[in-house]
Amino acid sequence: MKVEICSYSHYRIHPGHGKRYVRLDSRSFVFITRKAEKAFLNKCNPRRTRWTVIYRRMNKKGISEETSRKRNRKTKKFFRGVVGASAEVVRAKRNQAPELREAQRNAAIKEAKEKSRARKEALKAQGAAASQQKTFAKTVRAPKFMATSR
Amino acid sequence: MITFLTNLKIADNTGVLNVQCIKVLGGHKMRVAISGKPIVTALKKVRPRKKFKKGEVAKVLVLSTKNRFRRNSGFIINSNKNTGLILNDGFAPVANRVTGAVPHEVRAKYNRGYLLTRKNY
Repeated sequence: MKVEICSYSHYRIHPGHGKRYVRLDSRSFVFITRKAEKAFLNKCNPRRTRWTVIYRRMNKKGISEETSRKRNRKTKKFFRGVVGASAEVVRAKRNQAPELREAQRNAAIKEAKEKSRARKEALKAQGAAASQQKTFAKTVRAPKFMATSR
Repeated sequence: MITFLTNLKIADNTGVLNVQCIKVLGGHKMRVAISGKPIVTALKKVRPRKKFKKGEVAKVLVLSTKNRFRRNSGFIINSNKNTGLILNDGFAPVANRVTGAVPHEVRAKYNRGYLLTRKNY
């Protein structure tokens, strides 16, 4: 079902109603009533004819005024627990002074560096021992854990 | 509603401008022609140096009419001009181009191997 719209009054035209007028320049117009058709053929301006939809829309007739204001939405911040840490732990961490946090971070870095250095030294010592062994007995294969640790 | 002595405009490129109906074809005592029906006309106004001359008699196919007609969909359709298209004796269109709008019923019937018009309604 195709509902068309009147070319003059902009009323809706259901099937079985209305009339189509084809100009010689092949533009076709649809009219719901004879009144609309006559007004169109008399070249009346639908913006000045009071009963047309265009006029009423232009002059804001029959629209109930909406007094309700637009509500502004504001985003609120919430602390939520992340994985292991609960909301309170997160909040406590946030409230710490930045200097303190930096100091903690530096300390942690230092510790990690020292650890890695110690590990490397230990590996070196082991490697030296292995090379000594090799010089003495070439046929003896290096133990397997040496190969993986490099 | 094309009857005896109705004036029509010709909407093709044969050079004929206005014609007058002198006979409605298509049946015994056929009085009225609607769009898609052939009529016999006298050529009233013709452009010079063309195929046809003023005062000749030619068959014409009625394209659009001022009088309204009804489609099966319920729509009533009319045009602002009575227009036609010149036919030869074998009822085939003479022109190779048609201007203006043509109802799709006529187009389906008479679009014989060439483009009647792109504008149809």
